Amino acid sequence: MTRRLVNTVALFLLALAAPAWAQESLDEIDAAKGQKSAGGSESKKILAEVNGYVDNRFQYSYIDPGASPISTKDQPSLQEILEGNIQLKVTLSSKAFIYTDISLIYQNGWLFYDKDASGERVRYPEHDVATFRPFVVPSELYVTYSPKPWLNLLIGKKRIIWGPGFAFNPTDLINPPKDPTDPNFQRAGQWVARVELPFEKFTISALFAPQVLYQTSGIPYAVMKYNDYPLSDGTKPPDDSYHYLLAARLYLLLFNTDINLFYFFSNKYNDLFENSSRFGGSFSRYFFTDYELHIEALFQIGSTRLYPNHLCAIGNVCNPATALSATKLTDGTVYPRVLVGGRTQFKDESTLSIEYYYQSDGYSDLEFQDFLRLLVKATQAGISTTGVSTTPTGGSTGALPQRFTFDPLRRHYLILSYTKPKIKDDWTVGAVLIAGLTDLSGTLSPSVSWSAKEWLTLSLYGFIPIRGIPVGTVTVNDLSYSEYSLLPIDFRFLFEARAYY
Amino acid sequence: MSRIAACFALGMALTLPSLAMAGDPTPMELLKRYDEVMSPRTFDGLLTMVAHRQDDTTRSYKFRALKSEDDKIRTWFFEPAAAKGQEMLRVGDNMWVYMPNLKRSLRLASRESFQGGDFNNGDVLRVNYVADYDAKLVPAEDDKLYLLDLTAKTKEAAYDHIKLWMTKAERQPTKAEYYAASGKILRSAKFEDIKDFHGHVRPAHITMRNELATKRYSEMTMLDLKLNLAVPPQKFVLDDLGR
Repeated sequence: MTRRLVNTVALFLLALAAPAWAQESLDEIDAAKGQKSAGGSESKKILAEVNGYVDNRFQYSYIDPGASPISTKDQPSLQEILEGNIQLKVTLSSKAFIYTDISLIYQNGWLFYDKDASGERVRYPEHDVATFRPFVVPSELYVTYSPKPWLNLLIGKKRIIWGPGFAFNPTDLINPPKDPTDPNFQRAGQWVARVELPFEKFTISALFAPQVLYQTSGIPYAVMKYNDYPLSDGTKPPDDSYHYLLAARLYLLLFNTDINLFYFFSNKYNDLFENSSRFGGSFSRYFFTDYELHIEALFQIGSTRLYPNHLCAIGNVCNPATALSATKLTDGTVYPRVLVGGRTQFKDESTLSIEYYYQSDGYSDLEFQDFLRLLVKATQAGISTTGVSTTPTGGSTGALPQRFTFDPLRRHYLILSYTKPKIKDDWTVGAVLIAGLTDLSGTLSPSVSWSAKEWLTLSLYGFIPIRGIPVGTVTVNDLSYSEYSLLPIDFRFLFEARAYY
Repeated sequence: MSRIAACFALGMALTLPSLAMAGDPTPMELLKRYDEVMSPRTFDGLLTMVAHRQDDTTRSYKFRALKSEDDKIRTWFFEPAAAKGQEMLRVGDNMWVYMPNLKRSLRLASRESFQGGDFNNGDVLRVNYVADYDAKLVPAEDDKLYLLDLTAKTKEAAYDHIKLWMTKAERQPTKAEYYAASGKILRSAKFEDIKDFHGHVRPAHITMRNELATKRYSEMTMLDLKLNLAVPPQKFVLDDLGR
């Protein structure tokens, strides 16, 4: 039944897409898009264009429960993610179109491990993990209308990125975070209404983003404000606030340089800030023909990061409710987040990207040590530490499942990315290194890809935590920890096959 | 930078017999003619590029190129499926690529490879030889051809040195060689299949051969071409990419 439905939908979409094929002249393309042909007549035909991909990712991780105080009970050694993606663009007229980018995800995980009372690695029974259930991700779903060449209106779900950062964007307060080891992967945006005024040398953008608080199968059912009544599982509304973000942006092309200036005003949108303003800016330009330089910075007053309570961390008695709290939320201090990076392509067509990231609200050594002490205590008390985060977002991102999310705890980071195509025609090798400069720990993600056909790419990725050297690490219960030693895996391999249509 | 420029523009100017005037033209007149043929001030073109690789396999691309004024050009990729939705934009010395998988644009350098083929971005997106090169006329072995010796005068030029052959009768490009600063030949191009596109005559087919990997070459074919269009300037702004 399900298969028949899928086949029917696929055939319908392919039939819609047919007019986009076999276009051998500009008139055919313009007529299909409803634009005026050379003869001046405007076609009223609605065109649907379809493309997308089917992607299978199978990965094996060597789970090491003894390496980290983070619980591994819900982390499978074997994981399968099958994604069917469809991108549909329906052109309504020469001035308007509807676009959707939807992924259907089947996923599952097997072979769990935990440690026993003596700290030994032991099998943990197979069980259901909510985050590994199949789901639907509407990464984008919007309608856009340009009544004038200098005016564009957009409403719906869209991934909008303004900053030039390659692996990471500190000024991106809107979207689900991307995976720096695979920036192509995260496609999901957020629900927004945007007005944009593009001109030759500058663009003005204004955006309103209500936060999705609850959603199911990618469909929101609580937006901006929690319902007044509890959910069926008894969950009570956390607050009665309005969760939203307003953003304004001025883009300038000046002296061959991309310059952005940002202003954000938010209330409990993806973080704990209430009625709070933030400012940002960015710069991107090529120097000496081949060397791109970019800077992206965000300035905020206070920090929404959760900091450990020192007395709680070192004491014998601790109230879990106050163990981690946003103690710098209203301290009046300006906390900048700055990314500086560059990119160049060498004569052999290999590309090197280097980015340095500084966040002034990252943990000091003592705060990091206290954070680890609390993690160890929580683990010893049987409290789950899976998915522990120091930057609570609230709401629901509805994003694609990533193999790695950059959620930095400390202050200084280096991200290196190198890609060398055409090792042998269709073979590409690459590596991404994310290094915490405080304790020299990090992750190394080498990869090799083969474009076996124009429509098929096969890739093998490695993912290796580098636990660092005994400088800058902190010691808890006679065990030394660095930031990336918190990852409870020794290595991970991922095989991906992606077929485009 | 401008092999493609050459290719683009080349095709445009094939016919004008009236150009066979008495006396040789100046090098800059020929260069200007090349730009008029291969990259007229405004045009809208539909093209294919087939990249032949070292292992004898091919990769095919189909894209649309829209040019406005002397230094604005935008491309939309339709094929293959893996590249569908990609767009490229050049405004002056600035180039960007819109990656649909990233849902965003990135800056590009003009000397980077165009879609991994044997043309580079400058070949396709930056065809303005008059602005980028100094030219001198040198003797050609074939007395039916002019031979131009071009030297880059800007850092943004795609090549340091170019030898360009044009027919004396129609003043259409027929062949080009592209060199590094060291004098090493990097690529060579052949301009063929002169066609009339709605009144504009130019080579419809350009073969760009990689002289460093001799089995590799790319063919670019102009399927359709229109000139003298009224295009809103907003088609050439960064924020319009992806729309």
